[in-house]
Amino acid sequence: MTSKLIQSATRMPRDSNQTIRKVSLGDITANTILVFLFVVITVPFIWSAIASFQTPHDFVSGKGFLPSEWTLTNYKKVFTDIPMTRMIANGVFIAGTASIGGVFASAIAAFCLAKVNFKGRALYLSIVILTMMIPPAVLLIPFYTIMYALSLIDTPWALILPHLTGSAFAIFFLRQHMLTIPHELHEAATMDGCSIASILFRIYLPLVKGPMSVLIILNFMIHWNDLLGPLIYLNSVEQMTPTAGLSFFRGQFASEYPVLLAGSIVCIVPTTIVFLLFNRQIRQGLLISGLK
Amino acid sequence: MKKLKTILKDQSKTRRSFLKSTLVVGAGGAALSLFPGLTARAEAVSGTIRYSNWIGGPGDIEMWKNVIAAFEAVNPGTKIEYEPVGWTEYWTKLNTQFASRSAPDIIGFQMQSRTWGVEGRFEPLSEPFADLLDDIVSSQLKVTQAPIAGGIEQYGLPFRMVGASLFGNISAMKAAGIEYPSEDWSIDDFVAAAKRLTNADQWGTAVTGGPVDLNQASTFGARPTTLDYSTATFNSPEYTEFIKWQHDLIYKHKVAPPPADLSAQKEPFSSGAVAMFPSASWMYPGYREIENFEWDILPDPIGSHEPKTYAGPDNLGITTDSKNKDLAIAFLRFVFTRASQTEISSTGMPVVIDYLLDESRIAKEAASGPSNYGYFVKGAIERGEGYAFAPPFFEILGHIGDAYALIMNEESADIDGILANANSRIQQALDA
Amino acid sequence: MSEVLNIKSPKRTVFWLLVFLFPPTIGLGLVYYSAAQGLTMGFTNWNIISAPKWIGLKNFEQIWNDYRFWLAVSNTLFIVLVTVPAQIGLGLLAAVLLHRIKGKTSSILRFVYFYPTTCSVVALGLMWMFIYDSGGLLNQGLEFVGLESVRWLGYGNALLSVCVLIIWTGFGYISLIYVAGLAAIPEQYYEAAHLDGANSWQQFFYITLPMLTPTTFFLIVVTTIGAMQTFGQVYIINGRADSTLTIVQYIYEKAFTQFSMGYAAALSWILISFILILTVIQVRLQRYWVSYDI
Repeated sequence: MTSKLIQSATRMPRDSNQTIRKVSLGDITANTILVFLFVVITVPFIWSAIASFQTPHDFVSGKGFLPSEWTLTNYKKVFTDIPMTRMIANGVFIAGTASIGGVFASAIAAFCLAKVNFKGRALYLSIVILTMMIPPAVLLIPFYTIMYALSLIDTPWALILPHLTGSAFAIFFLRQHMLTIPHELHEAATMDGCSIASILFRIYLPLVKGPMSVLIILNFMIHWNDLLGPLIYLNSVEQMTPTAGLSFFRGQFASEYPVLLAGSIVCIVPTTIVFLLFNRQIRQGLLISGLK
Repeated sequence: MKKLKTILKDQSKTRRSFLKSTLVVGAGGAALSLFPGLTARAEAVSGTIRYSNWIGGPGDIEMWKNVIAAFEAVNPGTKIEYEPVGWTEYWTKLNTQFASRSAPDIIGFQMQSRTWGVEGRFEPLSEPFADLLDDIVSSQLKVTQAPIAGGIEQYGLPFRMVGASLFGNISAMKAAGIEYPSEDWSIDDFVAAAKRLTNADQWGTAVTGGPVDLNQASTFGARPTTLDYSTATFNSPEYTEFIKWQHDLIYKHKVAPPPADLSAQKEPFSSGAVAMFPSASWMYPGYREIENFEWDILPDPIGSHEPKTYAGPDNLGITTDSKNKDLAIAFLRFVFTRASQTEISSTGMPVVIDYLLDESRIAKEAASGPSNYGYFVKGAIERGEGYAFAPPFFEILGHIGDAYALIMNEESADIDGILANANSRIQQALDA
Repeated sequence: MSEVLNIKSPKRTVFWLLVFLFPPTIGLGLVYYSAAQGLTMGFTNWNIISAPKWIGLKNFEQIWNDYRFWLAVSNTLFIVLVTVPAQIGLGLLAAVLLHRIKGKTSSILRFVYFYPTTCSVVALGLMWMFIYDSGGLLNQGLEFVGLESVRWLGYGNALLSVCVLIIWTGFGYISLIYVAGLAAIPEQYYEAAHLDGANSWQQFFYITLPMLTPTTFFLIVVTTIGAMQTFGQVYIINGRADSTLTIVQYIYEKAFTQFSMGYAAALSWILISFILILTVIQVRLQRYWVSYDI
């Protein structure tokens, strides 16, 4: 009985041959599972959002699910206790520059590693991939010393510059993509005597626009959510990013939890907007993934 | 009040005889340097320094901004860059900065001066502050003192104190027909009261497991380490008795909840969940917002020994990375002026003795609550004690917390075994 | 097969090659220089405050006898063994079910499932800490249906609760990757199999799964490396008595709260070796089950 259920649930659709499908038991099971997952994901967010509208008094006395009075004080505090608007601007600038610049640098490097044959190419690639296994804690102090020597501490550039050199994941990912692009595409170009620079910029980069967009968006989110980086490399409150700014509400003895929740939601909003706007690109970017 | 002053000053006099320098600078000595607007040394300071501290609770940031603004107003041409950091991230950041010798000029810290100062990362302060040391509660100065050849050296100075008390829900006590206890009420009286206060909606008391425990642990003669921080005494007969007593509160008398059942969302006392709660002065700002019931500090119940009051300082020190030590010293001296100490006392207790004992100040604090604030001040001064403030303080706190989690959440826990385990680990930390 | 270029003017090629690879090389230099510096500390007793002193392999000896290290190892391995299969399994299930639906609903569902990945680990940890709280959402729900509340973050349960959080956050991302993989399987295979009389179950096992093996392999490798470095979630949801201590968390604690940089660096060596060994084993094993062309 169960296997039949699973069977119908996992049946590959063949809609091209049928216009109407009967609603089978398998369909119901499948949809139930999907709805269950939907609920499981959304409920925690909704619950936290509701809690963020509670007065601190209500929160502390644990009145339960619904607050007795809805208030915006927590959100007000997020924007008044710390210069949140300025922090959001900082965050957008840092995350945006680092992700766009970084993905471009990665794409260029990926091209070299995919399409140009040079001695030591495999070795170079391995060195790049190996960096993914180094725990960041090890790098923290040496990196800081370098940034300090360059007088970049307490400037956004301390957070941007290291990423402008490209990231291992992006290089790896884009390389896989470029490998699936046929050779013939540029053979004609080389016959015309084009340099590899123009081949890269005129042919390959436009072709990997999709995966590049995906990476830019994903990297934007990673940089936006980065906590330790801004905390360590930035000193003054005005330079902080939103995620780091939230830690101001986590005191040694007393944390203002409702404000923290409200702040977390404020931090989530920009990435949600970015995600909504670029949802399509993300799906398409993953589609032509060379992961086969 | 005079007696207290003598106690406090005598202790510092004996200590001071060890100091090489006996300078007292400025006309009129110590007293004048505490008046707002007057600096004992009339040198002009200028420049910019960085000051970093962690955030203890809401109100800390505001407080420092005010102190800094006052300083900059009196000293034009100076700028103090204030860099607050959340508690957990503060140490990570400090670590990175120390490693690259780029630490802020002034930093907040706790008991690390014993190693950091001796290793040359903190400026010695005995000399530049010689005239002020007498006026600071000496038990609080001890934490930032380190032994050096020929005596001891002050590597940091406390800027405020915090301390523990037993807080009581007066309304609940009245409802249960319990009178406000006399100062010599016993541990058994306490348990009896807790029993009458425990009902379906609230617990009589709660078990914590940290510095605030000291007030009750001390009545059993228990402390986590010896006073010189060399030996762990976490599983001494006294401490074992204390822990078993706490365990009984939960499982035998049923007047306290297992800690895992206390919600992290609700502060146990202000939500009315616990009627008699061991807590500390850093909770005053939060407790002052309680609207549902009357509250106050209760006297510490007495057991086989006299109860001590947990009182510990938060300190400031000048790092040797500083490039403008004159300005740093000037700012630090400013922290001890009456005006600054008034500002700081909004988040803790001042450390300047005169101000600490000032009747009008005590009355003012008592008016905002707790009414019995005077009892707490007296306790902190007369019977104040630190808590395992050895250099591996956080590690020790972790081991104690772990032991509590294992013991207090199980009805039949191997208390002796767990304590022995924790004790050997604390000893290891102390030996390292 | 990777194709290579056949350029007419090699000199200019070399020039451009150097230019293009310049930024990444700087980055690599930065990383490896820092890593070398950081890791060399593993052979010293550096504690930030005083100058480092060479002590050879003493740190490693200490680690071998350190009960907390072994706790961290067992916790981390537990997390890997629980979350990696669960995330991949759940992600695959979701992807397969999503694949049947087209259009708007599918789009919305995919967005929702992926959403937690876009949030900061710290924010999610905070959120779930309150959900797991003794008065939080889960216990409120249990009480509502008349069941007893559970100590989700208690000593015995904390690690599993953290695993649930990790799975909850990650399966959406994995399902998206699988959806892409599923879409790439040509329809004809299914039609041919159907003509041969294969039922859906058999189609799934003999067509879908094998064709997804490269994707699955990639996901296993990447998810394992990630799980071995679990930090953010346990940093926020701090289980008592080291019940949720992970290796990276222990490194962080030793380095930044106890200032034992030398010890922390030695721990990092061990972590890197673990990850390397695991990855190499996975790569070696792939020939037994991963098929790149059909």
